[in-house]
Amino acid sequence: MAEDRASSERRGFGERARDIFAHGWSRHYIQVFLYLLALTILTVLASYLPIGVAGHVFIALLIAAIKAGLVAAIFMHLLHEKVVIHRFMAFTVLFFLALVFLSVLALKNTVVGAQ
Amino acid sequence: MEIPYTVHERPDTGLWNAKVGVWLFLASEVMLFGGLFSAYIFLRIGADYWPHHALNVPLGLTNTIVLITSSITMVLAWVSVKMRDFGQFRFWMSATLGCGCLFVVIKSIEYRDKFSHYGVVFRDEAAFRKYEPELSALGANIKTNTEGHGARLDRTPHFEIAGHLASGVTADAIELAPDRHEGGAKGGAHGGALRVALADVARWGVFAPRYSTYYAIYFTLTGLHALHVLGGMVVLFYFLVTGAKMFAADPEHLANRVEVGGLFWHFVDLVWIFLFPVLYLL
Repeated sequence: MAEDRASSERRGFGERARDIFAHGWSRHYIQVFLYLLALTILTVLASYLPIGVAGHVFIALLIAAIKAGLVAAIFMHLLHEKVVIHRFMAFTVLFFLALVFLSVLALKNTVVGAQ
Repeated sequence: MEIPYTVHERPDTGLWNAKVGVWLFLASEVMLFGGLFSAYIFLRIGADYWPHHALNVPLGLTNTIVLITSSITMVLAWVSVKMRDFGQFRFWMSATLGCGCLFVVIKSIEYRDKFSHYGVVFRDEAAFRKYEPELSALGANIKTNTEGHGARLDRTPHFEIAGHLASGVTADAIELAPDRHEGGAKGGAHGGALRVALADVARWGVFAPRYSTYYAIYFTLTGLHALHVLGGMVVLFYFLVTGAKMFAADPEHLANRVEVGGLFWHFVDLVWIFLFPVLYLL
């Protein structure tokens, strides 16, 4: 166990991290946190605008997508992640969209004579 | 035998194993919630009526801010281990767990409110008009889609009131103290009671899943999400109480564990980022 600790410290994780975070990474995270708060307030305010349901859906999903992107890219480090993870997530996004699209197809499949 | 590649990278993936594992798990979680979001779209497209701002928006907003705050404290807990400061790690991890507890408490307050509140949907416009003078005298908050919601997708006119049961329900009538305009979504104080004949009522009941498709999908999505919050808290609490031993033996191993736990925690936050507008605002 002592050897393990020595080996990971030797590889400079502790030291390197101190350098990285001392140079503003923590400040960077807090900046993202403030963006997320601002976008949250914005999405609530937008939901009271008299713009109709299509406008509401568009604005709410746009803001949610930006917020989700910030969380994934910065908090979850997806921006600096290895290509294996990017491949996993590319497939996941593809299947997710297919799943959502299946329901949207219901719009095109109305029962004749029902409405 | 030791578990391989907990700290060092595996040559073929370029990653330590737990990270590959947690991302694969998160991919399956995306599909789990994806299926339910798909169900939401399907139900909403087919619904005759879909409520707007039916939930308590200030409470939902508070919970959103609580979860976003817990995400930043989670990142800072990981940064603390990376910087080899165990005291700081304990502080930020406790803060994250505190936010998790606060989220669950606020959510259960919202649930309790729904389970003790009654809604009444009138059979049709003629039935509603009979009670209109009495309702406006009481200052009741009437939910309808006939005015001001012209651009919504609803197909049929809808007239609904909510409130507390005044004396109860008899075989032919329900007595309700309706929520009033002022006081926002919760309705604030109740005034006098109103007697509605069940012959004029399409359906009535507490806002439980069976009340409408909206509440069915609301409880399914938020209930599953709340279970994820609780599950995440169990894991993070485990790291908090057993972390000292691992920190002393191999701090980088603890950092990686916290990072993986954090990835799950951020994912739970990410799901809520979509749930909040979809259920509270649209």
